[in-house]
Amino acid sequence: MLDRFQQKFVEEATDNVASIEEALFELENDPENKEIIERLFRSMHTIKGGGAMFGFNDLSNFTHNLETIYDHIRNDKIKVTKDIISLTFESLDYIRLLLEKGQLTDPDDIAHQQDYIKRLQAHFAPGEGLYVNPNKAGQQQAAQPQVEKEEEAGPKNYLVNFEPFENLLSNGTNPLFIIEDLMALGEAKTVSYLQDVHPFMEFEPLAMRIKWQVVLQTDQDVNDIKDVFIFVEDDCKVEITELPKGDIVSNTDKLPEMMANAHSTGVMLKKEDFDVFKVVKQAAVASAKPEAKQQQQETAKIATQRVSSAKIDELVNAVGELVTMQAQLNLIASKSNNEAFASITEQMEKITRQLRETSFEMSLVPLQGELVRFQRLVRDLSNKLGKQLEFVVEGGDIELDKNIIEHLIDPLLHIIRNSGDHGIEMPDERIKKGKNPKGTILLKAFYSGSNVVIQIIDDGKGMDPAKIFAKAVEKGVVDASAKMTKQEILNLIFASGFSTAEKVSDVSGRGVGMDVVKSKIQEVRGEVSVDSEIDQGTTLTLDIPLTLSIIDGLLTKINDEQFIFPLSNIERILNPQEVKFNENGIGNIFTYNGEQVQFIDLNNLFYYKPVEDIQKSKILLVKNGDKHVGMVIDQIIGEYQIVVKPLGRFLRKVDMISGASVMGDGSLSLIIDTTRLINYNNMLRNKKQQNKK
Amino acid sequence: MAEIIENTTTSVTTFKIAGEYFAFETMKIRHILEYVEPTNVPLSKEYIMGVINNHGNMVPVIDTSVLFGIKNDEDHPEASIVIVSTDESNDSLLGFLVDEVDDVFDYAPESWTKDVVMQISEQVQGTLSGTIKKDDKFVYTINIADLAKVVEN
Repeated sequence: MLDRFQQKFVEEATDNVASIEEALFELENDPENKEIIERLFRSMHTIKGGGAMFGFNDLSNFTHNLETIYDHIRNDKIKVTKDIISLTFESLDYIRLLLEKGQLTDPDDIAHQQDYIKRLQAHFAPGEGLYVNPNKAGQQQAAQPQVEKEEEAGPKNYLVNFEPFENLLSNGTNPLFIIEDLMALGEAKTVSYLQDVHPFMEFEPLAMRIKWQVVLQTDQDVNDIKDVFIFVEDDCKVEITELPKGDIVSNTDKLPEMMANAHSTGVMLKKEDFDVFKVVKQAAVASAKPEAKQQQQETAKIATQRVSSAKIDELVNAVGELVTMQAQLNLIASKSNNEAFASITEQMEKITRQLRETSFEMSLVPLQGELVRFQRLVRDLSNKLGKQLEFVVEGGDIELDKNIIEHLIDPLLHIIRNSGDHGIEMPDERIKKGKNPKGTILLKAFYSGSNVVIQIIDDGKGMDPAKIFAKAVEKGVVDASAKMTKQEILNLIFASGFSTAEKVSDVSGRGVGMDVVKSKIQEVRGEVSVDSEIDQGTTLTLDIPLTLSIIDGLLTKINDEQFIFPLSNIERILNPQEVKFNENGIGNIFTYNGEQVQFIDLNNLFYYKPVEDIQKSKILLVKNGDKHVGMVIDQIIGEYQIVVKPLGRFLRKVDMISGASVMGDGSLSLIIDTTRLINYNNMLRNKKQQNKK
Repeated sequence: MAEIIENTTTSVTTFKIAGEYFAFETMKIRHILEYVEPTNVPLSKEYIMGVINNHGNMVPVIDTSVLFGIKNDEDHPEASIVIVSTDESNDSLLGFLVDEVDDVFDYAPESWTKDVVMQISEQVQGTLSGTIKKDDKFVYTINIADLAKVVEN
């Protein structure tokens, strides 16, 4: 049980660290913003408290010190400095480490933590007590304000309504601890309401049905009371009402009777009930401002829910199978003459489609969540390289398949690192060129059909084609006599064994080149291209499919075998009569719409026997860069929604086939990756040309 | 290879190709299917017959006699596809077309020798890890991990 809660804590704490990181970037730009500081503080507080609750005491201790800095900031005792922000970033990495390690056992680690904490404490406001023991923290903090506020008129009283939701216990929270924490803030009297608790026979041990009211007499302010509920704020309703000042709690005359009454009737105490104390303490009340602060947490509706990604994968897989079964069912229904059966099948298909779409959307995650890492990288880069770098994001809210995002992180980190290291110039060099000394790396993401395009655009020095060409010749990637267009030369950076960095630097050039980036992107059926102008900058464009698992496909026949073309790749289906073939039949070329189009005879390519009568075939017009390629096939069967099954590593080399799909009748169809097919065909053609030479 | 040598007894499953006996370690076998025609994959290696659907997984099927370079023209009414898991990962399933699945037995280390007299095609010769003498038959043990490497590369 405990492990499960610990696991949950680690997950949530990791999220909190991420949101602290995000908030820090905001704070860096807006150091005076109270709201951000408050958010930071709360996240830290959550980690600290959770850590102590779930046995991560070292983490809790460390975070407490970090939190203290922000406590001082929020109380205007110290100001946010760049040092503090940097130290906080560093601390976040350390917190992540602690979340991974749990309790420290190695004496070296413990000593290291001590040093670290001292570094944090160096930033505390002058004269503030240093933190010693997590258990005494509350008392110590409580002690200080008492001194400051002694002159104020008497202790304050609050009525705290604590109404947990039914699910409170399922998070491992013990509500009694919360009440204890509350009582530790000062003098308190508590009344419980058991009216909603089910009778013994219907008792549900996991359902929380008890409510409490606490009359609290304390020197702390409302914020401190709210802090007690910081871990459970989503799981309960808390109302804090300020009561008249004075000595209510120790009242033996009316209070016990009021409370006993409330307990037995279930009628909760209200602010007005305490008016009786006003009469006694009239003078005090008159001097107090009548500001009854009411803090109410809206009964929060659960808008999002945490589900393990393994479960979503399972769901998506099951829905995939369902889609396949549905196709089988459709086939049987269309063959049977049973109208009722056909009608139910049709309705079911609607539901299946809906389910498919919903589960598909569920499996997508926003890119946003990963952006902080890039932002962090750019920040670290600018510090390390002494450059001024700004990271700008456009379209961070696009969503992609989780597996695809995982595949993108490393390539994107690599590209951004390259932009920062090699692309953007040093500030003085930029000034000489008449540019803003601050260089910008822009990450731009947008949808394009069923694909997502992600661009990394920098305004650095750009790439010099002449240099690239020279380098490629030197590395033996191309022949010195080769004639190439600028675009072809730029594409050389993706060739294996090519790295433009003149020196291997600490930051980039760890032996991984753009060829690795390219192959990583291709693993998710994406494409990467480059564009660059000298002194204007470089743009890397990743074109990535939204998902890998389900596609709309066109089912075709080639040599009596079934093949599927992704519908998104096909621009047009042509009849041979619509195009003009080269009269002498040479060169596999036809003219369509005024454009010379190369075509691939798939019968010939796959089965080494040219199509018998090209006039009886069909042509799929596929876009390839800014040109078109025609795919000559035998027959078109129809449009299908298909579940892509990978062919696995033993057929990895046959990369022009991206997978297979189980059809309604149980047969298999292979799915064609048109881009790779074209590449393969070009490679064959080039080989033949070279052989002729 | 190591697994077969070091264990005191190991269970193997034997099968026939053109009258010769070969064996996979039984623990590596996931399914034995009656022959179904695989879906041809164009442009793949000649010994890959195609893929079959095995519980939603696409499993490549190897024509074992072609891979081993053994001439094998006769009809085999008992032909089966032996699906093995080459390692623990998900896409490690590989099917082998065999003439007939013969036997499953445990063998003692002393009946096993490292020597292999049998000659098969050069690329897979090294995957034959030894010979078991069983009654009057000679059974050639195959190292599945090595065989998978040949197919993968």
